[in-house]
Amino acid sequence: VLASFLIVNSWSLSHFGTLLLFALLVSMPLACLTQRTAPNWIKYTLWSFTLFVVISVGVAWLMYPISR
Amino acid sequence: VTVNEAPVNDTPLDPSAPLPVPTAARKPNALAPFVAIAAWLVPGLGHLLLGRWGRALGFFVSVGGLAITGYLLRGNVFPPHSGDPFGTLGFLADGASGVFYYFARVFEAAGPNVSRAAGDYGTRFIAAAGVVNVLAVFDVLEIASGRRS
Repeated sequence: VLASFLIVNSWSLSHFGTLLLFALLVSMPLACLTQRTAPNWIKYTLWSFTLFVVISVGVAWLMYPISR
Repeated sequence: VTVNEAPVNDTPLDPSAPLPVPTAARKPNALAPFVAIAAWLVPGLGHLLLGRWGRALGFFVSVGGLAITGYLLRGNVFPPHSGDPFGTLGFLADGASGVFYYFARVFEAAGPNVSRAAGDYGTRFIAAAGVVNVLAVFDVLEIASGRRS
C-alpha cells in the first residue's frame, strides 16, 4: 500500500508503468490461489506477470493500425 | 452399470507406506461464514484467522495496492445508489474490496477524473481490487469448509 502511494505520487506513471504495476498486483493473488508452496508462488507470479505483459503488448501492436 | 462410478485403483497397497492422516484442514469449520465475512471486510484477515499468513499477506498487499493505486490515479468510485445497472455492477466490484472502499474518501479527496487515461485505468484498478478480494473470500470459504488445504 505504501509502495503504491510512493510509486504514484513520486513517479509519474506511464501507460506501460501502469500495466506493469497492474500485472504484478494481479499475478500475486492468482499465484496465492493456485499454488501451495513458496517457490511455486514465485514461479507462477513471474509466469503470469510475463504473460500479462507479453499479451498486452501483443494486443497493443494488433490495435496499432486502427489507432491512426 | 452405474454412470458415475468412481475409477477403481487396482494398484496393490504398499504395507510399508504410511497411512493417510486426516488433517485439521479437512474438518469443516463451523465458523466458516464468519471467517468469510472477516475476509471480505479486511482483505487477508480470513486467511490470517485460518493460519495462512503467507496468503493473507499476499491478498492484503494485492487488494490494498490495487485499490490505493486506483484512488491515487483518480479512478471512478461507484456509489451504492447509482440508478444504473452498470453503476450497480461497478459498486458491487468496488464494495467487494471491504474497508478499502471507504479509503477513497482519504486517498481521492479531490474526486475522480476520468477525462485522462490515468483516471480510466484507476477505475479498473479499483474494480480489480474488489474482484481479487472476492476470489480471496471464496478461497477462505473452501479452506474453512475443508475442501482445500
